[in-house]
Amino acid sequence: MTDRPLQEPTLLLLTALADEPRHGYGLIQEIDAISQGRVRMRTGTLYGALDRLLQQGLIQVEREEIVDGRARKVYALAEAGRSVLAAEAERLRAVVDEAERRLAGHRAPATRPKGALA
Amino acid sequence: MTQRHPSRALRWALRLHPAAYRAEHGAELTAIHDQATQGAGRAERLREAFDIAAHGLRQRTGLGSDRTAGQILAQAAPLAVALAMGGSVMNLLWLLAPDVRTLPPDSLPNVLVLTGQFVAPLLWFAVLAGVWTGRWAAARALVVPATLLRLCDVPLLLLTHSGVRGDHTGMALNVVVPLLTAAVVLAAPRDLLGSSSSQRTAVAGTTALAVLVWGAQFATAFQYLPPGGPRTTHTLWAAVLAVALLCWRRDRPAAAGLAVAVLPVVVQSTVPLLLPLSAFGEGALLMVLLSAAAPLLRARRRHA
Repeated sequence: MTDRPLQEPTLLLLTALADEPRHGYGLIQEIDAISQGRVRMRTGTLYGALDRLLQQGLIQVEREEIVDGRARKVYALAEAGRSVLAAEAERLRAVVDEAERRLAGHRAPATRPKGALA
Repeated sequence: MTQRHPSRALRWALRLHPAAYRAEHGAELTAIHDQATQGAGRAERLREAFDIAAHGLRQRTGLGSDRTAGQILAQAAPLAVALAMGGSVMNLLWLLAPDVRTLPPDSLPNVLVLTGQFVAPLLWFAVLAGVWTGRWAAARALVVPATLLRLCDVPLLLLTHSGVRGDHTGMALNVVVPLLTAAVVLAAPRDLLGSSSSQRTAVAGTTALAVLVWGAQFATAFQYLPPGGPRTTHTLWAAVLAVALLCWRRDRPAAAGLAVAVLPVVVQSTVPLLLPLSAFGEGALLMVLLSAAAPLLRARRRHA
């Protein structure tokens, strides 16, 4: 992993797994909810991301279960993934804090009376 | 949830995966697809199957986001879009330049080619706007008409009997270059594409580079040699590729991305120097081959 910011699909996936392990479709629903309907991850894209995050050791398969006669995997955040997500959250928080500080300190430009000289 | 039979589209999409991968993950992919498309219309089910098919093709070709090639493509895709937009603007400027216009709007094919030259920059600008704002689905959807528009030039130019662009090399480039660009943008793994400040910086930098290189080509085009003749400035894109190849390291994905992104424009500007072979062409080819040895030697040393 590099110290570059995470791309949004990765950030959303790690965030979706931060509180509890989830299966594939559960992740799609959770990402939809976290992004407030803005990001609708499709099955192939989700699977590509899961393959990569598994290979990078950021997530792990917690268990496999059979539901309605079909096997499905339940994914969980690995320790490395938790650290990466925490670092990203810290980076984003610093940006948000700075934005709020600057917005709070912003003063509207004073309107100059007509005819006044600079 | 009740188990459904996979649709024909989904069966085809699954067949595109390597057999071992399909055996291990096919059931789960089918289950997720079924849940994701429950109650959805035919178009939505097809889009979902298309996404699974794209994932299968990436698995087969080693272009998944878990592979280095896929990660390099993700770096290259936004830069390739910036270069394609620059290229389309350049084509338009070239057409408007004095003494170069060879397509008077006196027949329907000519009018269609000229219209295409005006529409292409607008389409590519829309693609770039999508990339800039992270709307990759829209951006990639727009790449298809932008590419088709460029490909339409080939039959139209054959009908126009244009002297400058009607030669076989030019025709082949009119097919290969847009297809290469589209391949780079469409093959990049979706889960690695987003919008970040570093990506926007890279896109802006590539655009600035394109302005410099094409600006130099444009400025010198009419001064030293007759139009169509080989020029030093035509080797500039090969030089950019050479520098990117020299900087290509595992910890520098941007350099690798730039090397892949400039490939279409290198082909476009260098092939005419090689067919027929000119001293400029020989120099450009040698430069690229020598610099390509650097990442190969580095990789070999790493594996040794």
